[in-house]
Amino acid sequence: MAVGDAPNRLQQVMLGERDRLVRFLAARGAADQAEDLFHDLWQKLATLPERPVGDPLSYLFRAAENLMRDLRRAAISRDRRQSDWHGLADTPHDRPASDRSLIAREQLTAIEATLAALGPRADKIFRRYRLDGVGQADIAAEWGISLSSVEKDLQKAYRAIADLKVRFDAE
Amino acid sequence: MTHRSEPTEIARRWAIRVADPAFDDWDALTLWIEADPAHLAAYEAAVEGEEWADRALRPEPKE
Repeated sequence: MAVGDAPNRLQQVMLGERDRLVRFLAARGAADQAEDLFHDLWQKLATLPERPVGDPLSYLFRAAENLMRDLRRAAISRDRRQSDWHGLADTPHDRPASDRSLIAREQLTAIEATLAALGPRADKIFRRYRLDGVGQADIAAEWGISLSSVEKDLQKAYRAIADLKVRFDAE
Repeated sequence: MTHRSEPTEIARRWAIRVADPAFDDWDALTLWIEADPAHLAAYEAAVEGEEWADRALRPEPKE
């Protein structure tokens, strides 16, 4: 927070829920950096234009979750670059761009086939959930099915995707 | 069906739940991750799986 700036609404909630958020960050992989990351989040919120947020605490946890995902993705691509520099292996990232897009196309084809094999409902529900960001309750209403049916379809799809990813990672 | 390891399966359920815009059970997620050192890795693997599918299905321009 810049000197003289009053904490905005989200920052006020952040202060009040500091312990819970820091504990979440620590559990979520920040470990002893949790306090620092809490501070990073604080700074980020200071730069956001004030706008109404439905549930401020949930918004803050979501921001913390996204921060940990960003950091993990960054760490993974850093590791990848490092292993490229050391020329350790013929990783996909060493290959020319045309090769990489070929791999991406192969993955897409495999994912689409895997989802299609689950049946049209699970396929559509997975895409609605992942790509359109529609919640489970709304999807259940759209299909006229129970929440637990939506959950089961999503579990099927996630499981199938995970199994497929294992196969690709092993190649 | 092959027997699937529990943490992997439970982690996947957490990842699915967290992906819901209405998810607000963050303290319970914290407790579950804290309960066992293997849980965080299982959860991260589940998240990587869904992100992998997202990237393939919705290719975004780099940077």
